Amino acid sequence: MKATKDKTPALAIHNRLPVLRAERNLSRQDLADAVGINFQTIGYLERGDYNPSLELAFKLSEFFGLPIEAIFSKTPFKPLSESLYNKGVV
Amino acid sequence: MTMPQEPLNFKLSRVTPKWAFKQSARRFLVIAFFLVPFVAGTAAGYINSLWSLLFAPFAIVPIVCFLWLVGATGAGADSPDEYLDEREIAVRNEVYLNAFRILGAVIAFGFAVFTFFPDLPVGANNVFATLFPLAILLPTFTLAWTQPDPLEEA
Repeated sequence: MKATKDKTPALAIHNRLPVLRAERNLSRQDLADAVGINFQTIGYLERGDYNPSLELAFKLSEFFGLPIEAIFSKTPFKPLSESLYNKGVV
Repeated sequence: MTMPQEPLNFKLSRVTPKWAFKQSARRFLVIAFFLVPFVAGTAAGYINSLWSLLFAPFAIVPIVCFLWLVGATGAGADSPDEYLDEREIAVRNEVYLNAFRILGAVIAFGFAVFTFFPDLPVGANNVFATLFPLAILLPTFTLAWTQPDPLEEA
């Protein structure tokens, strides 16, 4: 991991953490407390500066009640509104 | 997650001034740690009289700098695993690696100096007196130097 010199991890993993957090009206501190990490680490995750371990990914998945692939992806996520519109939900 | 009782170095974060948490301020403190005693000591040596005692208060500067650096980095360089999350553990391990490399470079430099200038009026005790604290302090300095600005909003 290149945590301090080069902020970007070798493998870019995209995530929906900011959206999921905003939907549930959670602060970074709330989410961090729920999964037992420092709130600064939530910021690192959201910016893509740090890739979570499998254990942390599972904790986040359990907390949000979503499968891991709904939170993390190797390719950029489409905007949620676009995904819902294409599925005919909206 | 159940946390053990808060250690002393964590409490330093609360008494460290807010400005010291910025990366630029931390770098300034690292430089001040080395520069202030060097300049004050050199100046006191030149004066070489009782007036040189005027520089004695500067001896406290590196102590304050180090305590603020520990507080500003959340004691991340010296905390055991149970106080850190997985990212902080990875960062702590990385700064120890970097600090070890820097210390190795300093020792190699010192070795080269003593090899080429064997008559230097610097005793072995002085060398150890420098290297020993440096080994302990370097991880905090390395973390303070490299850690980006913290997020303001929790």
